[in-house]
Amino acid sequence: MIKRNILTMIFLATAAIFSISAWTYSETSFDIEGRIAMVAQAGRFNPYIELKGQYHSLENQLRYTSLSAGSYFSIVPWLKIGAFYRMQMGARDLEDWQFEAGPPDRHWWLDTRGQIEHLFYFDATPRFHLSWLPGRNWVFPTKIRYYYNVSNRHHSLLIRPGLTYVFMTDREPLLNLSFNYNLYFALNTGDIPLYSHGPYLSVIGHVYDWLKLEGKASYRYATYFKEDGGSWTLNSSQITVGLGVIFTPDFSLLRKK
Amino acid sequence: MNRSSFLLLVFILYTAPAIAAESHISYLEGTVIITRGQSVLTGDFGMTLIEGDKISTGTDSLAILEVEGRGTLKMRSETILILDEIEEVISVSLTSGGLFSKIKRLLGVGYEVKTPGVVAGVRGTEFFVAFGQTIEDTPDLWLCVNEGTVHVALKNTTDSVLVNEGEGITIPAGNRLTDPRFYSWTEDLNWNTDPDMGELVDQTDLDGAYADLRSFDYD
Repeated sequence: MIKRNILTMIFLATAAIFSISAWTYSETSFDIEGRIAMVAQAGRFNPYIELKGQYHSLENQLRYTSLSAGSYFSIVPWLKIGAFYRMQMGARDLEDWQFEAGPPDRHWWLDTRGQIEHLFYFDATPRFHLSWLPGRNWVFPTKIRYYYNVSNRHHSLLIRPGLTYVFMTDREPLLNLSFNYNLYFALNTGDIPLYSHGPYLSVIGHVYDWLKLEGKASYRYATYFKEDGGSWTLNSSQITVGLGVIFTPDFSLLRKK
Repeated sequence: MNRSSFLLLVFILYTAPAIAAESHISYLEGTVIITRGQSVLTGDFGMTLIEGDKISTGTDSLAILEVEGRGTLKMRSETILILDEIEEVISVSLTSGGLFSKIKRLLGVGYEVKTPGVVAGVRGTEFFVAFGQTIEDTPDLWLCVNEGTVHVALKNTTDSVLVNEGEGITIPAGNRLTDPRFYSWTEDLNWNTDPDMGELVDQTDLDGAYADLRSFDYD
Protein backbone atom coordinates (compact mmCIF):
# COMPACT_ATOMS: atom_id res chain seq x y z
CA MET A 1 0.00 0.00 0.00
CA ILE A 2 2.79 2.37 0.97
CA LYS A 3 4.73 1.40 -2.12
CA ARG A 4 1.72 2.16 -4.32
CA ASN A 5 1.30 5.58 -2.72
CA ILE A 6 4.94 6.43 -3.26
CA LEU A 7 4.70 5.47 -6.93
CA THR A 8 1.56 7.54 -7.33
CA MET A 9 3.26 10.54 -5.77
CA ILE A 10 6.29 10.17 -8.02
CA PHE A 11 4.03 9.96 -11.06
CA LEU A 12 2.06 13.04 -10.05
CA ALA A 13 5.20 14.98 -9.21
CA THR A 14 6.77 14.09 -12.55
CA ALA A 15 3.63 15.06 -14.40
CA ALA A 16 3.48 18.34 -12.51
CA ILE A 17 7.11 19.16 -13.32
CA PHE A 18 6.66 18.46 -17.01
CA SER A 19 3.40 20.34 -17.18
CA ILE A 20 5.08 23.38 -15.67
CA SER A 21 8.44 23.45 -17.37
CA ALA A 22 8.22 21.61 -20.74
CA TRP A 23 7.14 24.06 -23.39
CA THR A 24 6.86 23.39 -27.06
CA TYR A 25 6.31 26.01 -29.70
CA SER A 26 6.07 25.75 -33.41
CA GLU A 27 6.35 28.10 -36.34
CA THR A 28 6.13 27.79 -40.10
CA SER A 29 7.88 30.06 -42.50
CA PHE A 30 7.44 30.28 -46.24
CA ASP A 31 10.61 31.57 -47.81
CA ILE A 32 11.64 32.58 -51.29
CA GLU A 33 15.24 32.12 -52.34
CA GLY A 34 17.22 33.46 -55.24
CA ARG A 35 20.77 32.75 -56.18
CA ILE A 36 23.22 33.48 -58.91
CA ALA A 37 26.24 31.26 -59.19
CA MET A 38 29.17 30.39 -61.37
CA VAL A 39 30.46 26.84 -61.45
CA ALA A 40 33.28 26.87 -63.95
CA GLN A 41 35.32 24.09 -65.48
CA ALA A 42 39.11 24.38 -65.33
CA GLY A 43 40.58 20.96 -65.87
CA ARG A 44 39.79 18.91 -62.78
CA PHE A 45 38.84 22.02 -60.81
CA ASN A 46 35.40 23.60 -60.61
CA PRO A 47 35.87 27.14 -59.31
CA TYR A 48 32.69 28.21 -57.58
CA ILE A 49 31.16 31.50 -56.54
CA GLU A 50 27.61 32.07 -55.35
CA LEU A 51 25.47 34.93 -54.16
CA LYS A 52 22.28 33.94 -52.38
CA GLY A 53 19.39 35.76 -50.75
CA GLN A 54 16.26 34.65 -48.92
CA TYR A 55 13.00 36.46 -48.30
CA HIS A 56 11.24 35.24 -45.16
CA SER A 57 7.49 35.60 -45.18
CA LEU A 58 7.08 35.06 -41.44
CA GLU A 59 8.82 38.33 -40.67
CA ASN A 60 8.22 39.81 -44.07
CA GLN A 61 11.89 40.59 -44.54
CA LEU A 62 14.90 39.82 -46.70
CA ARG A 63 17.08 38.53 -43.91
CA TYR A 64 19.54 35.93 -45.06
CA THR A 65 22.16 36.67 -47.68
CA SER A 66 25.43 34.91 -48.37
CA LEU A 67 28.45 35.03 -50.60
CA SER A 68 30.37 31.79 -51.06
CA ALA A 69 33.55 31.07 -52.98
CA GLY A 70 35.85 28.11 -53.38
CA SER A 71 36.41 25.21 -55.69
CA TYR A 72 35.58 21.59 -56.20
CA PHE A 73 38.28 19.21 -57.33
CA SER A 74 37.62 15.93 -59.06
CA ILE A 75 39.80 13.25 -57.47
CA VAL A 76 38.30 10.50 -59.59
CA PRO A 77 35.31 10.73 -61.91
CA TRP A 78 32.95 9.56 -59.16
CA LEU A 79 34.27 11.75 -56.35
CA LYS A 80 34.65 15.49 -55.99
CA ILE A 81 35.94 17.29 -52.97
CA GLY A 82 35.68 20.99 -52.29
CA ALA A 83 36.83 23.73 -49.96
CA PHE A 84 34.88 26.97 -49.60
CA TYR A 85 34.56 30.17 -47.68
CA ARG A 86 31.22 31.79 -46.95
CA MET A 87 30.30 35.17 -45.57
CA GLN A 88 26.69 35.21 -44.48
CA MET A 89 24.38 37.72 -42.97
CA GLY A 90 21.11 37.17 -41.11
CA ALA A 91 21.50 33.49 -40.28
CA ARG A 92 19.79 32.19 -37.17
CA ASP A 93 21.38 29.91 -34.64
CA LEU A 94 20.17 28.31 -31.46
CA GLU A 95 21.45 31.26 -29.42
CA ASP A 96 19.27 33.62 -31.41
CA TRP A 97 16.09 32.00 -30.17
CA GLN A 98 15.06 33.65 -26.92
CA PHE A 99 12.44 32.78 -24.37
CA GLU A 100 11.19 34.25 -21.15
CA ALA A 101 9.39 32.14 -18.61
CA GLY A 102 6.06 33.64 -17.71
CA PRO A 103 3.33 33.53 -17.22
CA PRO A 104 2.74 34.44 -19.85
CA ASP A 105 5.74 32.80 -21.54
CA ARG A 106 7.33 34.68 -24.36
CA HIS A 107 9.70 33.54 -27.07
CA TRP A 108 11.18 35.41 -29.97
CA TRP A 109 14.11 35.57 -32.37
CA LEU A 110 16.84 38.11 -32.07
CA ASP A 111 17.01 40.36 -35.08
CA THR A 112 19.99 38.93 -36.93
CA ARG A 113 19.75 41.23 -39.91
CA GLY A 114 23.17 42.69 -40.50
CA GLN A 115 24.84 40.08 -38.32
CA ILE A 116 27.82 38.90 -40.34
CA GLU A 117 29.30 35.44 -39.92
CA HIS A 118 32.26 33.77 -41.56
CA LEU A 119 32.30 30.08 -42.35
CA PHE A 120 34.58 27.56 -43.92
CA TYR A 121 33.11 24.41 -45.31
CA PHE A 122 34.53 21.30 -46.86
CA ASP A 123 32.66 19.02 -49.17
CA ALA A 124 33.02 15.47 -50.40
CA THR A 125 30.44 14.26 -52.87
CA PRO A 126 30.57 10.77 -54.32
CA ARG A 127 28.31 10.23 -57.31
CA PHE A 128 27.46 6.92 -58.86
CA HIS A 129 25.96 6.52 -62.30
CA LEU A 130 23.23 3.90 -62.05
CA SER A 131 23.21 3.09 -65.74
CA TRP A 132 21.67 -0.30 -65.06
CA LEU A 133 18.39 1.31 -64.00
CA PRO A 134 15.67 1.72 -66.63
CA GLY A 135 16.36 4.93 -68.49
CA ARG A 136 20.13 4.65 -67.88
CA ASN A 137 20.55 8.26 -66.77
CA TRP A 138 20.23 7.87 -63.01
CA VAL A 139 22.82 9.22 -60.62
CA PHE A 140 23.07 8.54 -56.91
CA PRO A 141 24.94 11.36 -55.17
CA THR A 142 25.57 11.84 -51.48
CA LYS A 143 26.76 15.25 -50.46
CA ILE A 144 28.76 15.26 -47.25
CA ARG A 145 29.60 18.74 -46.08
CA TYR A 146 31.30 19.88 -42.88
CA TYR A 147 30.79 23.49 -41.77
CA TYR A 148 32.88 25.46 -39.34
CA ASN A 149 31.35 28.75 -38.36
CA VAL A 150 34.30 30.90 -37.34
CA SER A 151 32.04 33.54 -35.81
CA ASN A 152 30.28 31.34 -33.26
CA ARG A 153 32.57 28.30 -33.43
CA HIS A 154 29.76 25.97 -34.33
CA HIS A 155 30.64 22.76 -36.11
CA SER A 156 27.95 21.10 -38.15
CA LEU A 157 27.57 18.43 -40.77
CA LEU A 158 25.23 18.11 -43.71
CA ILE A 159 24.60 14.72 -45.26
CA ARG A 160 22.39 14.78 -48.32
CA PRO A 161 21.70 11.52 -50.13
CA GLY A 162 19.73 11.90 -53.33
CA LEU A 163 18.69 10.52 -56.64
CA THR A 164 18.96 12.44 -59.90
CA TYR A 165 17.56 11.65 -63.30
CA VAL A 166 19.00 13.45 -66.30
CA PHE A 167 16.75 13.87 -69.30
CA MET A 168 18.88 13.73 -72.45
CA THR A 169 18.15 14.63 -76.06
CA ASP A 170 20.58 13.36 -78.68
CA ARG A 171 23.25 12.71 -76.04
CA GLU A 172 22.98 16.23 -74.61
CA PRO A 173 21.66 16.89 -71.10
CA LEU A 174 18.39 18.77 -71.11
CA LEU A 175 17.06 18.62 -67.56
CA ASN A 176 18.23 17.32 -64.20
CA LEU A 177 15.49 16.27 -61.84
CA SER A 178 16.78 15.62 -58.32
CA PHE A 179 15.21 14.40 -55.13
CA ASN A 180 17.39 14.72 -52.06
CA TYR A 181 17.01 14.51 -48.33
CA ASN A 182 18.92 16.93 -46.12
CA LEU A 183 20.18 15.77 -42.73
CA TYR A 184 21.79 18.47 -40.61
CA PHE A 185 23.82 17.46 -37.57
CA ALA A 186 25.01 19.87 -34.91
CA LEU A 187 28.38 18.61 -33.78
CA ASN A 188 29.08 20.83 -30.80
CA THR A 189 25.90 22.75 -30.00
CA GLY A 190 22.47 21.96 -28.63
CA ASP A 191 21.16 18.71 -27.31
CA ILE A 192 19.75 17.29 -30.52
CA PRO A 193 22.44 16.04 -32.90
CA LEU A 194 20.08 15.71 -35.86
CA TYR A 195 18.58 19.13 -35.35
CA SER A 196 17.19 19.63 -38.83
CA HIS A 197 16.14 17.55 -41.79
CA GLY A 198 13.82 17.56 -44.78
CA PRO A 199 13.37 16.82 -48.47
CA TYR A 200 14.85 18.92 -51.21
CA LEU A 201 13.74 18.88 -54.84
CA SER A 202 15.52 20.58 -57.67
CA VAL A 203 15.14 20.95 -61.40
CA ILE A 204 18.03 22.22 -63.48
CA GLY A 205 17.60 23.11 -67.11
CA HIS A 206 20.65 23.02 -69.37
CA VAL A 207 19.92 26.07 -71.48
CA TYR A 208 23.40 26.26 -72.98
CA ASP A 209 26.72 24.65 -72.16
CA TRP A 210 27.50 27.81 -70.19
CA LEU A 211 24.11 28.50 -68.64
CA LYS A 212 21.75 26.54 -66.39
CA LEU A 213 18.47 27.62 -64.83
CA GLU A 214 17.41 26.12 -61.56
CA GLY A 215 14.15 25.75 -59.71
CA LYS A 216 13.95 24.17 -56.30
CA ALA A 217 11.68 23.52 -53.38
CA SER A 218 12.53 22.28 -49.93
CA TYR A 219 10.93 21.58 -46.62
CA ARG A 220 13.18 21.86 -43.60
CA TYR A 221 12.07 20.82 -40.19
CA ALA A 222 14.29 22.05 -37.36
CA THR A 223 14.11 21.52 -33.64
CA TYR A 224 15.60 24.09 -31.29
CA PHE A 225 15.86 22.90 -27.71
CA LYS A 226 16.94 24.70 -24.57
CA GLU A 227 17.06 23.58 -20.99
CA ASP A 228 17.36 26.04 -18.15
CA GLY A 229 15.34 24.97 -15.14
CA GLY A 230 12.83 23.62 -17.62
CA SER A 231 12.81 22.63 -21.24
CA TRP A 232 11.79 24.70 -24.20
CA THR A 233 11.42 23.35 -27.68
CA LEU A 234 10.75 25.19 -30.92
CA ASN A 235 9.65 23.12 -33.86
CA SER A 236 10.39 25.24 -36.88
CA SER A 237 9.16 24.38 -40.35
CA GLN A 238 10.63 26.19 -43.29
CA ILE A 239 9.20 25.81 -46.76
CA THR A 240 11.47 27.32 -49.38
CA VAL A 241 11.04 27.76 -53.08
CA GLY A 242 13.86 29.17 -55.10
CA LEU A 243 15.16 30.11 -58.49
CA GLY A 244 18.75 30.17 -59.59
CA VAL A 245 20.84 31.27 -62.53
CA ILE A 246 24.05 29.28 -62.87
CA PHE A 247 26.84 30.14 -65.25
CA THR A 248 29.05 27.21 -66.21
CA PRO A 249 31.89 28.49 -68.40
CA ASP A 250 34.65 26.12 -69.45
CA PHE A 251 37.95 27.83 -68.75
CA SER A 252 39.85 24.81 -70.07
CA LEU A 253 38.91 25.87 -73.59
CA LEU A 254 40.36 29.34 -73.12
CA ARG A 255 43.66 27.82 -72.05
CA LYS A 256 43.77 25.55 -75.09
CA LYS A 257 42.98 28.36 -77.49
CA MET B 1 60.71 23.66 -125.98
CA ASN B 2 58.34 23.10 -128.86
CA ARG B 3 54.60 22.80 -128.54
CA SER B 4 54.52 18.96 -128.62
CA SER B 5 57.25 18.71 -125.96
CA PHE B 6 55.33 21.12 -123.76
CA LEU B 7 52.11 19.10 -124.12
CA LEU B 8 54.02 15.90 -123.34
CA LEU B 9 55.46 17.49 -120.19
CA VAL B 10 52.02 18.67 -119.12
CA PHE B 11 50.66 15.16 -119.72
CA ILE B 12 53.45 13.58 -117.68
CA LEU B 13 53.04 16.03 -114.81
CA TYR B 14 49.30 15.55 -114.83
CA THR B 15 49.42 11.78 -114.86
CA ALA B 16 52.51 11.31 -112.70
CA PRO B 17 50.70 11.30 -109.35
CA ALA B 18 48.26 8.70 -110.65
CA ILE B 19 51.05 6.48 -111.96
CA ALA B 20 53.22 6.78 -108.87
CA ALA B 21 50.37 6.86 -106.45
CA GLU B 22 49.21 3.34 -105.92
CA SER B 23 47.58 2.80 -102.58
CA HIS B 24 49.71 1.33 -99.85
CA ILE B 25 50.37 1.10 -96.15
CA SER B 26 52.88 3.81 -95.36
CA TYR B 27 53.16 3.15 -91.65
CA LEU B 28 51.82 0.79 -89.06
CA GLU B 29 52.11 -0.10 -85.43
CA GLY B 30 50.93 -3.32 -83.83
CA THR B 31 48.76 -5.71 -85.77
CA VAL B 32 47.27 -4.90 -89.16
CA ILE B 33 45.39 -7.53 -91.12
CA ILE B 34 44.33 -7.27 -94.76
CA THR B 35 41.49 -9.45 -95.99
CA ARG B 36 41.71 -9.71 -99.77
CA GLY B 37 39.10 -12.00 -101.24
CA GLN B 38 39.65 -15.34 -99.55
CA SER B 39 43.19 -14.44 -98.44
CA VAL B 40 44.14 -13.05 -95.07
CA LEU B 41 47.42 -11.12 -95.20
CA THR B 42 49.53 -9.54 -92.53
CA GLY B 43 50.00 -5.86 -93.21
CA ASP B 44 53.50 -4.49 -93.64
CA PHE B 45 55.24 -1.24 -94.51
CA GLY B 46 54.79 -0.39 -98.18
CA MET B 47 52.27 -3.14 -98.78
CA THR B 48 50.13 -2.36 -101.79
CA LEU B 49 46.41 -2.05 -101.27
CA ILE B 50 43.78 -2.68 -103.88
CA GLU B 51 40.12 -2.01 -104.27
CA GLY B 52 38.03 -4.30 -102.09
CA ASP B 53 40.66 -4.77 -99.38
CA LYS B 54 39.37 -4.97 -95.85
CA ILE B 55 41.92 -3.56 -93.43
CA SER B 56 41.71 -4.27 -89.70
CA THR B 57 43.84 -2.86 -86.90
CA GLY B 58 44.21 -4.71 -83.64
CA THR B 59 44.39 -3.53 -80.06
CA ASP B 60 47.04 -0.84 -79.49
CA SER B 61 47.64 -0.68 -83.23
CA LEU B 62 47.36 1.88 -85.95
CA ALA B 63 47.80 2.03 -89.71
CA ILE B 64 48.44 4.90 -92.06
CA LEU B 65 47.32 4.39 -95.63
CA GLU B 66 48.29 6.45 -98.64
CA VAL B 67 45.44 6.26 -101.13
CA GLU B 68 46.22 7.01 -104.76
CA GLY B 69 48.43 9.94 -103.73
CA ARG B 70 45.26 11.83 -102.95
CA GLY B 71 44.66 11.09 -99.36
CA THR B 72 46.19 9.89 -96.15
CA LEU B 73 44.05 7.81 -93.84
CA LYS B 74 44.96 7.04 -90.25
CA MET B 75 43.15 4.14 -88.68
CA ARG B 76 42.84 4.02 -84.90
CA SER B 77 43.15 0.78 -83.01
CA GLU B 78 40.36 -1.78 -83.40
CA THR B 79 39.17 -0.23 -86.62
CA ILE B 80 37.84 -2.00 -89.71
CA LEU B 81 37.94 -0.20 -93.05
CA ILE B 82 37.01 -1.44 -96.52
CA LEU B 83 38.42 0.19 -99.66
CA ASP B 84 35.23 0.11 -101.75
CA GLU B 85 36.47 2.26 -104.60
CA ILE B 86 39.82 3.85 -105.25
CA GLU B 87 39.47 5.38 -108.67
CA GLU B 88 38.08 8.78 -109.62
CA VAL B 89 36.21 8.76 -106.38
CA ILE B 90 37.75 7.26 -103.29
CA SER B 91 35.07 5.56 -101.27
CA VAL B 92 35.73 3.69 -98.06
CA SER B 93 33.44 1.97 -95.58
CA LEU B 94 34.10 2.27 -91.87
CA THR B 95 32.47 -0.54 -89.95
CA SER B 96 34.05 -0.02 -86.55
CA GLY B 97 36.61 2.12 -84.76
CA GLY B 98 37.82 5.53 -85.85
CA LEU B 99 39.40 7.05 -88.94
CA PHE B 100 41.28 10.26 -89.61
CA SER B 101 41.13 11.40 -93.24
CA LYS B 102 43.42 13.98 -94.80
CA ILE B 103 42.38 14.55 -98.39
CA LYS B 104 44.10 16.76 -100.94
CA ARG B 105 42.06 19.30 -102.80
CA LEU B 106 41.95 18.06 -106.40
CA LEU B 107 39.56 19.23 -109.04
CA GLY B 108 36.91 16.75 -110.02
CA VAL B 109 37.77 14.03 -107.56
CA GLY B 110 35.98 13.20 -104.39
CA TYR B 111 36.27 11.20 -101.23
CA GLU B 112 33.63 9.66 -99.07
CA VAL B 113 33.48 7.67 -95.87
CA LYS B 114 30.47 5.44 -95.54
CA THR B 115 29.11 3.86 -92.38
CA PRO B 116 25.99 1.70 -92.22
CA GLY B 117 23.75 4.75 -92.02
CA VAL B 118 25.80 7.75 -93.02
CA VAL B 119 27.89 9.07 -95.89
CA ALA B 120 30.45 11.79 -95.26
CA GLY B 121 31.76 13.30 -98.48
CA VAL B 122 34.41 15.88 -99.22
CA ARG B 123 36.53 17.37 -101.98
CA GLY B 124 39.54 18.16 -99.89
CA THR B 125 39.70 18.36 -96.17
CA GLU B 126 40.83 16.78 -92.95
CA PHE B 127 38.30 15.13 -90.74
CA PHE B 128 37.77 12.40 -88.19
CA VAL B 129 34.94 9.95 -87.98
CA ALA B 130 34.44 7.26 -85.38
CA PHE B 131 31.90 5.02 -83.81
CA GLY B 132 30.86 5.89 -80.30
CA GLN B 133 28.81 4.15 -77.66
CA THR B 134 25.86 1.97 -78.50
CA ILE B 135 23.05 3.48 -76.47
CA GLU B 136 20.21 2.57 -78.79
CA ASP B 137 20.15 -0.37 -81.20
CA THR B 138 23.02 0.86 -83.35
CA PRO B 139 26.21 2.74 -82.41
CA ASP B 140 26.50 6.49 -82.39
CA LEU B 141 28.77 8.16 -84.88
CA TRP B 142 30.98 11.16 -84.19
CA LEU B 143 32.54 13.32 -86.84
CA CYS B 144 34.64 16.43 -86.58
CA VAL B 145 36.40 18.57 -89.14
CA ASN B 146 39.89 19.96 -88.73
CA GLU B 147 40.11 21.63 -92.11
CA GLY B 148 37.65 22.31 -94.92
CA THR B 149 34.02 21.30 -94.98
CA VAL B 150 32.37 17.88 -94.85
CA HIS B 151 29.00 17.06 -96.28
CA VAL B 152 27.27 14.53 -94.05
CA ALA B 153 24.22 12.73 -95.38
CA LEU B 154 22.00 10.05 -93.96
CA LYS B 155 21.53 7.10 -96.23
CA ASN B 156 18.00 6.42 -97.45
CA THR B 157 16.88 9.95 -96.55
CA THR B 158 17.35 13.43 -97.91
CA ASP B 159 18.74 14.69 -94.60
CA SER B 160 22.16 16.22 -94.86
CA VAL B 161 24.26 18.87 -93.21
CA LEU B 162 27.53 20.69 -93.82
CA VAL B 163 30.08 20.46 -91.04
CA ASN B 164 32.58 23.27 -91.13
CA GLU B 165 36.15 23.54 -89.94
CA GLY B 166 36.38 23.36 -86.15
CA GLU B 167 32.94 21.84 -85.82
CA GLY B 168 31.78 18.39 -84.92
CA ILE B 169 28.56 16.50 -85.16
CA THR B 170 26.92 13.71 -83.23
CA ILE B 171 24.87 11.22 -85.17
CA PRO B 172 22.96 9.36 -82.45
CA ALA B 173 22.49 5.70 -83.34
CA GLY B 174 23.86 6.61 -86.77
CA ASN B 175 20.39 7.53 -87.91
CA ARG B 176 19.71 11.19 -87.18
CA LEU B 177 21.69 14.37 -87.61
CA THR B 178 22.23 16.99 -84.96
CA ASP B 179 23.40 20.56 -85.31
CA PRO B 180 27.15 20.85 -85.91
CA ARG B 181 28.99 22.72 -83.18
CA PHE B 182 32.29 22.92 -81.38
CA TYR B 183 32.99 19.99 -79.06
CA SER B 184 35.69 20.38 -76.45
CA TRP B 185 36.69 16.70 -76.58
CA THR B 186 37.89 17.14 -80.18
CA GLU B 187 40.69 19.39 -78.90
CA ASP B 188 42.58 16.28 -77.85
CA LEU B 189 42.49 14.48 -81.21
CA ASN B 190 45.90 13.71 -82.69
CA TRP B 191 45.68 14.67 -86.35
CA ASN B 192 49.28 13.87 -87.16
CA THR B 193 49.74 11.35 -89.98
CA ASP B 194 53.45 11.86 -90.51
CA PRO B 195 55.76 9.57 -88.48
CA ASP B 196 58.52 12.16 -88.82
CA MET B 197 56.39 14.76 -87.09
CA GLY B 198 56.04 12.91 -83.81
CA GLU B 199 53.46 10.83 -82.03
CA LEU B 200 50.86 9.23 -84.28
CA VAL B 201 48.69 7.36 -81.83
CA ASP B 202 45.43 9.08 -81.05
CA GLN B 203 44.48 8.33 -77.48
CA THR B 204 41.30 10.35 -77.34
CA ASP B 205 38.76 8.53 -75.23
CA LEU B 206 35.52 8.76 -77.14
CA ASP B 207 33.61 8.27 -73.91
CA GLY B 208 34.75 11.83 -73.24
CA ALA B 209 32.45 12.91 -76.04
CA TYR B 210 29.52 12.02 -73.83
CA ALA B 211 28.29 14.13 -70.95
CA ASP B 212 29.48 12.69 -67.66
CA LEU B 213 26.34 12.71 -65.57
CA ARG B 214 28.43 12.46 -62.41
CA SER B 215 30.02 15.83 -63.03
CA PHE B 216 26.88 17.89 -62.43
CA ASP B 217 27.24 19.66 -59.09
CA TYR B 218 25.93 23.18 -58.96
CA ASP B 219 25.62 23.92 -55.22
